[in-house]
Amino acid sequence: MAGSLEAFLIPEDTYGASFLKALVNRLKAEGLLPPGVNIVKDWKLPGRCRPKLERMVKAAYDDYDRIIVVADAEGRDVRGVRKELEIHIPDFCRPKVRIIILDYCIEEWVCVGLGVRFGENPVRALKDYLRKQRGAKTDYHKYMLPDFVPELDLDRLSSYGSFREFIGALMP
Amino acid sequence: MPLAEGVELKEIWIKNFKSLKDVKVRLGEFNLLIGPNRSGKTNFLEALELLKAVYFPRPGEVNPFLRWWGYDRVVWRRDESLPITIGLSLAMAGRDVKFEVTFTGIGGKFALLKEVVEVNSTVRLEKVGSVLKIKHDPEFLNRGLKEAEENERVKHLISSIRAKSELANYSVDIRGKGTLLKDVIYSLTEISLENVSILYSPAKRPWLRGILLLSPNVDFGKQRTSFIMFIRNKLLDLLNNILVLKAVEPRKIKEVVSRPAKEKTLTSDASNLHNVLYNLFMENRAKMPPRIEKAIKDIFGPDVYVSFMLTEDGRIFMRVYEGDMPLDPPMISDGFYKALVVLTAIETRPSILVIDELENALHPKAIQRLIDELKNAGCTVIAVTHSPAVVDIVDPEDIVLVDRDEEGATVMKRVEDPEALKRKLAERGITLSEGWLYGRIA
Repeated sequence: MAGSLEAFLIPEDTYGASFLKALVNRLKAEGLLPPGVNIVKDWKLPGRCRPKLERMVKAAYDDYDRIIVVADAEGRDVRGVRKELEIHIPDFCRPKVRIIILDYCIEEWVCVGLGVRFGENPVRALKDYLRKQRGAKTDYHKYMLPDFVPELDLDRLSSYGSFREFIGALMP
Repeated sequence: MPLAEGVELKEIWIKNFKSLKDVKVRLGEFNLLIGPNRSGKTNFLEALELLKAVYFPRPGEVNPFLRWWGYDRVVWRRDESLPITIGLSLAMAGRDVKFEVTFTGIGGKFALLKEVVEVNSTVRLEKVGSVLKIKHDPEFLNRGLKEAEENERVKHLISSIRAKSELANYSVDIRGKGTLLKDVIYSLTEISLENVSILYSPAKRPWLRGILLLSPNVDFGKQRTSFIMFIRNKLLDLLNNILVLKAVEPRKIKEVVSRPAKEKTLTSDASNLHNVLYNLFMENRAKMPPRIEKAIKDIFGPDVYVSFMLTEDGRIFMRVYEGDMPLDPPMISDGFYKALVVLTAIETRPSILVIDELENALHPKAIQRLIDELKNAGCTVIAVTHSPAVVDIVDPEDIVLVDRDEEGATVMKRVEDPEALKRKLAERGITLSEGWLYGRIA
C-alpha cells in the first residue's frame, strides 16, 4: 500500500527499542512520518559477536519492507563500526537494510533534542543536565529514555545527521 | 545497597568449597557463567551464599554449613581437615583492597580461622586464631609517622602504645575476641590527620591493648575518615547485601498470600516476592517503582500493570491487570513471575546479585530486556545459563566458561582475547553460542 511501511528494528538495546518506537509514534502524530509507517517487530542487536545479525536479517528479509539497524559507535570511528555491521548483511538483503550509526549512543539524540551540549559523553551530560538544571532527585537510568520523547525539539533534532538518516530509513 | 561509586569488585577466589578446589575468576559488572551440568556453576553461586552466611547468619543460625547438611557436604572431596577460603579483590576509592576469610566446620563446629584485610602499599591486617598481625608498608609507615610526630595531638600515642621500631610488622594476642571485620577494626579509636589516620586500642578495651596502626585517609561525604574503617564498613555492606537467587519456582510464589511484613530482601527462592514488592510499592507512594513498571510494560504489553490490595483478613494480594481486566494468579504466566523476581531483586539494590538459571520460564525477548536491566543495575551481577539464546545476547567479555578438570575440580576461564574471538567468529560466520557449543572460545 502506498505510504505504508512495515519495519523490523534492530537497536543496540531494549531501552533503545522503547525510545525509538515512542519517537516514531510522535513523528507520525506530527506529520513527519506517514501514518502507515510501523515498527512491527524489534530485536536487540546481538552482543559484539555479530554473526547472529546475518541470521536475523535473513529470517526477517521476506516479512518486512525495511530492516533498520541502529548501533552505537561509542566514540569509535563511525565508518569502521558501519563496516563491522555491513559484513554481516548478505548481499541479497542489502536493498532492504538501513544501518544508522550513532556517534556515541542514543542519549545523544535526547541531548540534541533538549539542547544539551554533550561533548564525548551524552549519558553524563544528560545526568548533569537533569541534576543541575531540573533538580532531579533520582539519577538518570536508561529505562527513562521513552519519557523524554514528548519533550524533544524535533526541529533541532531534524538537523542532526543520524536522526535524519533514521527518518529517511522509515520513508516508504 | 549497590556497590558505592568508586567501588569495584574485581576478582573472587575460592578454595575447597564443593568442586571449587582452587578457582580464581576476574569479574566485570555483568558476568555470565556457562558450562555443562555438574561443572560447578551453582557451587560458585553457593560459595557467595556461604560467604554472606559467615558474617550475616540467619536468625538463630549457629552453623552456616547446616544449610548443606553439614561441613563434610561442602568441603572439597568431603575432606573435613581442609578449611574453606573465600577472597575478594576490590578497587575502592582508587586503592586496591584484598579481603580473604578462611573457616572450617570440622567436628560440627563453625570456626573462623583467618581473616585478612589488605590495602595495597599501605597496611595489612591478618587475624589468625587469636593473634592479630599488623604489617605496614615501610615507605607508607615512614610518611605516616612523620606526619603523626609533627602533630601535637597524636605524637604521644606513637611511643606510648608501641615502639616505633616494631610498627613495620608486629603481632598482638587479642585472645580471640570477635571477627576482624565486625569487631576488631570497629573497636579501635581513630584520629584522622591531613593524610593519614592513627587507629589504636582504646583504654576501655584491654583485650586490644598494644594495637597501633596507620591508615591512609578517605573523604567520605563531608567527613574525612580512615580508609581502614571505610573499607570495613563497605565490606560489611557488600557481604550483607549479597543476593543469591536459585531454585526460583514461580508456581510456588503464585500460591503465597502473606501478611504484610517489613521484608526488604528476597529469599533465595523468592518465595517472599509479594511482601518485598509490596514494601517497594508502598515506599513509592503506592506505585510500582518506575524501573519495574516500564520493564513489565515493555515485556508483557503496554496495558499490563501490577497493583496490590489487602484481603479482608489483612493479607496482601498482588493483582495484575491487563487493561481493566484483573488477572488472578492462575491466569498469570510463570515467566511473568520470573521477570518480576529479577526486576524486584534489582530494585532492592543488592551489592552482588547472583541468579541461577536466568533463562527459566522466559522468552528470549524478555531475557533481552532483563539482561539490559541487569547490565544497568549498578551492582555486580553473576548469572548462570545453559541457553544459547542468552549467550548470543551478551558480549564475549561477559562470559565465564566453567568446566571440570580431570580431577573433577572446577575450572573457570574468561575468553582470553575477545577481539580475536570476534574476528574469528565473524570470518567463519558462526555465532558466539555456536562457537561455545561446538568449538572452543576460551
